Amino acid sequence: MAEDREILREIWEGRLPVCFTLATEEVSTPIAPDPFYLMVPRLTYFPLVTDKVRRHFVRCVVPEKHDNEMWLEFEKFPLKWHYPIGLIYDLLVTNSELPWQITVHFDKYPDNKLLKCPSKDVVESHLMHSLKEADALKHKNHIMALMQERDHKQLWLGLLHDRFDQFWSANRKLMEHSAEDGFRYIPFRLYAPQLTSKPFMQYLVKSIENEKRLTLEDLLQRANLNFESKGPFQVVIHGIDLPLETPLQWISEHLSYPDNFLHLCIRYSSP
Amino acid sequence: MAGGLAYSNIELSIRRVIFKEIEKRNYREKEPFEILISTYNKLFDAVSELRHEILLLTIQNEKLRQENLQNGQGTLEGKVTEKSSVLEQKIYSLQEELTNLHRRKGEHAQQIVDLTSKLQETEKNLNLKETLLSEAETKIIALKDEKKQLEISLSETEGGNQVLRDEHQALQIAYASIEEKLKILHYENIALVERLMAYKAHDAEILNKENEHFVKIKQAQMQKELEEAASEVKVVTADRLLFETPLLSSSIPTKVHSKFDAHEGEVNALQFNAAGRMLASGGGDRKIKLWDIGQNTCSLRGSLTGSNAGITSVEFDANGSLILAASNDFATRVWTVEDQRLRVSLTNQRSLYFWVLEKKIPILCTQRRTILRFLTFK
Repeated sequence: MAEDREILREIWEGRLPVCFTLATEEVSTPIAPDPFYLMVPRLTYFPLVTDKVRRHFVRCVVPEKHDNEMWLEFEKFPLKWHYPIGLIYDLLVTNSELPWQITVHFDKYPDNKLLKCPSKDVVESHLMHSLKEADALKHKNHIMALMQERDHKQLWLGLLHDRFDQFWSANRKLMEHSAEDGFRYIPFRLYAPQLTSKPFMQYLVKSIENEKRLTLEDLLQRANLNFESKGPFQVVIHGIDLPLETPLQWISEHLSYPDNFLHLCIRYSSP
Repeated sequence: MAGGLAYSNIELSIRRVIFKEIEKRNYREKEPFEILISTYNKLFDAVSELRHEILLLTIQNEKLRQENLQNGQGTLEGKVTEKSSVLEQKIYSLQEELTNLHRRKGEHAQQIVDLTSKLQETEKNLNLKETLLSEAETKIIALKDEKKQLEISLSETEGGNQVLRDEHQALQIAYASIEEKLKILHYENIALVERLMAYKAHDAEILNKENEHFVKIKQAQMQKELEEAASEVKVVTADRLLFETPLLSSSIPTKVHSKFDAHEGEVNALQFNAAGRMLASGGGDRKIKLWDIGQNTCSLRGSLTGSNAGITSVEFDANGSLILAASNDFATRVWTVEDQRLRVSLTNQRSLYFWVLEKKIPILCTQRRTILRFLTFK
């Protein structure tokens, strides 16, 4: 069980300063709107925090586009709304120029690259789906099946309204494991865009093998990729470098995102 | 659980490292901007609110100005317009009051409707309850009657029970007493039987003793007589013998008186009558022949027939007038001598022999070992 509440709390309270600006070509009022600054939590998803942004910018767009879906972009990369915000930042932003400059668009939704997200319920179902997948890896789906509708709602509402206690009182059950074994398999996704064209890698890694607790190093070994080929690298999650000797069980309990997955990015400290 | 997995010191140090990293990150990403952006957001919200208020106020202003313009046509008639504006204001307020009162009236009417409907409902409930109550009361009365009846029947059955029990007890007592009586009688019976046996034994003993005694006496007598006789030595001379026959003279017959064929077959029985003059002989030829015995002659007097088998025994009666004969055909017959006719034949007796112990009372001895006593003969 995730008992290190200090760490859990620090991870939950992680924030990023974001500066939203409307795309210059879409401005229709004579004066450009002010950029909108916001401290977004690392752990949520963009559609949950951008209501105010939309309200602020939609006035300045041509009236026909008022009902269009808003989409975000950073340095020409459209941002996938179903990734947690912290993950997108770790993945895309290599320079640490803060605040994070994101451009807001209302026009020309890139259907070939992004899914549409018409409402918050879509985000909720996406979260539930990830939780079930993670629980299937950890507990053969026992815990999620045992949890009632009430608890599922609690997880969603805790994330939506940024309530640590509400979320973790339900999430604690998902972090349970039998005394001597850890989780059956560790739920994680490994993002290494410089090495592979796949968006992410996911494979089965146990938490305890041959009576020994596996560490991050073992996880990387099983990827069968030569990480060293591009030079010295770091494994980044929530904006911090993880030492390779950290046991996987501990990482999975304490550093998982709300969807109970570990989204690990491989970052190269290239000059 | 952290305890369950027993994190070692290495892992604790790793945890510290990670915690430090998080702190560094926060220092980099969060802290510089947090306060700034929150203040910015607050200002932004305040600004938008103020804008909204300004909008409302300008709208109100416009409205008022328009109203003013309308009223402002009679600016020369300052006072009148003032008065009229005052009056207008009064009218306006009165109108407002009117609308308020109308509204309240409507609300009250609604309340009244609600209350009347509630009242009707409660009245309906009350009626229902009353009917239920009356039903329950009738049920109670019926049940009470039943109860009374059941009590009566119960007491009756109890009385009957009691009577039966008493009878049973009485019967048991009678039975016990009868049993006792039976026992007593049984014992008495046993005692009496024993006494009877004792008496009989006693009688038998006495009889035996008497017999013995009698026999003894007789024996003693005989012995005595013998002794006497033996002791009496009389000189007996030869000549005295001829004259004094002391006791008995016996002689062996040396000469046959007469010999004749009496019967065709064997002769089984002979008998002289009391006088000695007549002889009756019975034989295997089933006849009884009567002979007269003279000095030297025997002449046939008559023959009695009627028997179906050989005669075994013949006897005269005391007078010599009747002859009783037994035969092999299991019958005894009686003839009269004078007319030589059969008088009585007694069959089914299997008698072969008979003799007369005393002339007066003939006794018949049959093969069955039964003894017939003829007390009288007719």
